Amino acid sequence: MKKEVKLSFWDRLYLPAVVKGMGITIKHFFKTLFTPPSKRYTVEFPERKKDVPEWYRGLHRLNTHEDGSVKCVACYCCATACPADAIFIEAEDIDDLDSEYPVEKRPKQFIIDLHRCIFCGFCQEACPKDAIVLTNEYEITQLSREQGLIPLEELVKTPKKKMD
Amino acid sequence: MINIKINEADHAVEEGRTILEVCRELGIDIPHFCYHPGLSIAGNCRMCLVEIKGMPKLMTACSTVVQDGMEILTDSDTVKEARKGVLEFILLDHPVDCPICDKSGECVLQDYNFDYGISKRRSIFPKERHKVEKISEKIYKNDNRCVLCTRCGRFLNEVTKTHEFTTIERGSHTHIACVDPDGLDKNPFSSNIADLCPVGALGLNEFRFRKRVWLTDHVRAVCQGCEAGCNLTVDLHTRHTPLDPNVGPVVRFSSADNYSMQRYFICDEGRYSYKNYNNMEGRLLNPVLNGNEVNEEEALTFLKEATDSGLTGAVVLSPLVSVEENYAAILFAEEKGYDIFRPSPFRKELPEPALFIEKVKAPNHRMMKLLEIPKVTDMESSDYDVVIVLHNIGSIRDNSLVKILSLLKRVKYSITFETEHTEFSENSKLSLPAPMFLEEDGCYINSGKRIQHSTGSLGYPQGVRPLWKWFFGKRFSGPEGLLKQFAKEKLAIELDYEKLGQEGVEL
Ligand code: SF4
Ligand code: SF4
Ligand code: SF4
Ligand code: SF4
Ligand code: FES
Repeated sequence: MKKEVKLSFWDRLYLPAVVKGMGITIKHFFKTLFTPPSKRYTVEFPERKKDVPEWYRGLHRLNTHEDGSVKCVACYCCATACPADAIFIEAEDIDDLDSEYPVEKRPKQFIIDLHRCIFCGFCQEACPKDAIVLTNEYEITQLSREQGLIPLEELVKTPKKKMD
Repeated sequence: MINIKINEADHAVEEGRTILEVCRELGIDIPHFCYHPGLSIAGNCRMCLVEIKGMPKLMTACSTVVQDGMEILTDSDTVKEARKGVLEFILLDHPVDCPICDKSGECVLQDYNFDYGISKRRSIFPKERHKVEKISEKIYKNDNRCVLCTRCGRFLNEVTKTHEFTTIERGSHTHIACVDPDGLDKNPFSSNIADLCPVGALGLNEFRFRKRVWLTDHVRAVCQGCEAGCNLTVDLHTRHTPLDPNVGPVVRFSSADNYSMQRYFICDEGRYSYKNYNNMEGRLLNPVLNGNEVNEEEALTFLKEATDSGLTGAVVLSPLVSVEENYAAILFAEEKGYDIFRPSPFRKELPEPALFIEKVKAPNHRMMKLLEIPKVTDMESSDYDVVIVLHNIGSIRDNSLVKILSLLKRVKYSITFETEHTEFSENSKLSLPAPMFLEEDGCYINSGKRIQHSTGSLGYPQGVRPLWKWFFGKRFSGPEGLLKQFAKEKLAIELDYEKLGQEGVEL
């Protein structure tokens, strides 16, 4: 829909609007300046960080066993549940059939596309092995699309969720 | 016919059949593991228990024959309780490692347990562990998951009669053992045991961990390997996600039951032929005129010029493509007054045991014989100006090919339909890209004169067009119209895809 807006001469000067906007900014600047830091709404990120609640859903982590091997068995449950098609898994045979309790299967590749992910947490709900979890990690900006593809090697390194 | 009551409803059914079969035909599902339509009845899993009024105990539906006046309850509380009990016993020693099990998603134990089982194991004893083995080139075995239905053993004993499997030890230690791994590799049907196994105890090495079955689409098709026309379940990878590598599009072939043909198995050659349909290299994707790729209009202009000038012509049909494509070519030839020929079929030695495998390696050869099309080698004069050759003949490899090739080289207007670049397409003036198997709906007539429908759910790539579209793009809207007309004109019956259904119609 197109709407014609007729600007008056006063509007087309633009300057009054700029001055008005600056006024609001300057008002808030001084207001914050004279409030003690503990009462301010803003946080000086990244020098200071805010604690997010426990249920916050941030960057994914793949949990590991004590011996460092990844818990994920590449069952594709998370990829199936994912509404954004953000998870890509390629399974691999471990050939550990001689061991007493063979695991048989693990992910060869496990990639999460953070630019597709909507942080719904369905993957974590679907996982039968408690392998994938969403952590409190929220500093997850990248400079390119490619950097948003987080591989298996990175996912196991995501810090565990901070529990109070 | 006798009258029985199933779940309080009256039914008139055939005499001498078992309750399970009768119920299957009526669409009533009775859970079962050991029963299989293609094998003898073992009655060892006890999953199919049903209540029959007047009988003191529950009866196995797979081995009890229906009798006049029988009153059967397949879903009463007693029956459900019994199913729960049976499942609890089976799961006593079952690892329930569905996340890594390749059967997961098509496992009946999983389904039944969801429907009837208990969610908590009551036993405190540890489960017995067996080693997982790759018992042959084709098959791996995981005894932990086995429910001892003995379908695998019965198949190898009764159908192929090669006896590679046996059960060993007793009681709760019983398990399946392979006594002849080499035999299993040589057996041309051995991969069927992976389909037969109701759980994930036997599987194909090739499919191991490759794909979860619920991420594929399952469609029904007719095997292209020989004239026998076995039914396939084709697993297609069509749900492409941005990160996916290019797997497939065909992930797996497995057998599909055809009760009217009484065929429940496929040969390994057919099963592993799925790879042929994943190879896109060398695929013909645009019309080629005199060695240069051209667009559709130019190809059509050449086609018109060749066929509208009233020259003499010949059409060579292909026993490797569907009834619809062949019929379109026949129709065209009849309208233009061209002669029609077929290549002689390519025969191959049969393996041992052969069962239903046919020597003639062309799925639609029977159609050519039914219509009494003369062979190319019986061609009297080769005085033609236009020659049209249908797709895929190159894979037949026999002596009629030399003749077709020389014909193509000599005539003024040579036109071939091909799926890939071959000798034929190279040696003709115009080659037109044609769809492959699974890309276009089509029917095939097998050696038993059964006409069966094979779905074309993949769709053909851009640039490719089926033959009927080149010739009759305006007259027909789809292959079904061609089948209808073929049935009416040539067979004097009414046929359409709905009538053919899943199992086809015997002519
Ligand atoms: S959080 Fe949701 S969108 Fe993100 S990967 Fe998990 S399931 Fe997919
Ligand atoms: S659901 Fe869990 S175990 Fe399964 S593939 Fe995803 S992370 Fe791995
Ligand atoms: S056989 Fe069935 S129930 Fe057993 S682990 Fe495999 S999928 Fe699960
Ligand atoms: S391996 Fe499979 S088919 Fe064979 S007895 Fe066990 S469950 Fe049945
Ligand atoms: S199916 Fe009847 S006992 Fe197994």
